[in-house]
Amino acid sequence: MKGLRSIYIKVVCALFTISTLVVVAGAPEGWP
Amino acid sequence: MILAFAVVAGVVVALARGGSLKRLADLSIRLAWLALLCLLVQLYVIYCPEDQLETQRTTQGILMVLSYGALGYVVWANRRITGMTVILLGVVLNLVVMAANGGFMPVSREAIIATGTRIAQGLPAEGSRLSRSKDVLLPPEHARVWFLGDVIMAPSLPVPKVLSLGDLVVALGAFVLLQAAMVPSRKGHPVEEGGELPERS
Repeated sequence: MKGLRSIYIKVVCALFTISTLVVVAGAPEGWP
Repeated sequence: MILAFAVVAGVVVALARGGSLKRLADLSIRLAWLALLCLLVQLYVIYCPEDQLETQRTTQGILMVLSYGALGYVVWANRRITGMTVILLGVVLNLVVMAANGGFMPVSREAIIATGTRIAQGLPAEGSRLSRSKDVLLPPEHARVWFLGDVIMAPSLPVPKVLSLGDLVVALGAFVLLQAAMVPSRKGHPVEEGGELPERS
């Protein structure tokens, strides 16, 4: 259970970081 | 939102191709804190009060260019991850056009009206910044390297947007990154999940 929670947290962190990279790098009109 | 769509689509397609979120958990991104700091800087600039859009323009333009430079460094530091070099190309394309136009992305009045998200009467004068965006209103003939600006009309996801070439390249890079990170390579790695060696064809 603890391992599952750890993987879940890591997945959320990875997706958050990738989304942050994309949102900061992009500049479409009418942000975000 | 259209850029976040690239991330969602990347995850869905990777899962459909047999990828797993567990593999994504193994992805280690260096200097993630710096990317988050860049996001905070850009949020400050983008959501600046309307009466400060012009008075703070120079400072905020410099902040935008610095945030892109710092983000470029983050992506460069992670270039070993497949897809990051594509994202870096997109960052550089956006950085070039924004730095050439005072730190903001040039967009034409016609392009914004075509999206239908803002009405013509509500738009500021040419050369002014647009609220809640990284954009500056400039006709192509007055914008430097205008072809790298927001000139590409994107479909409604959920509302139409105008994108730059750099935006498209960044979205493509994120998609490639997610495929590489989530879908097992056909060549296989020395040790796959469960410790079994992959079959070689």
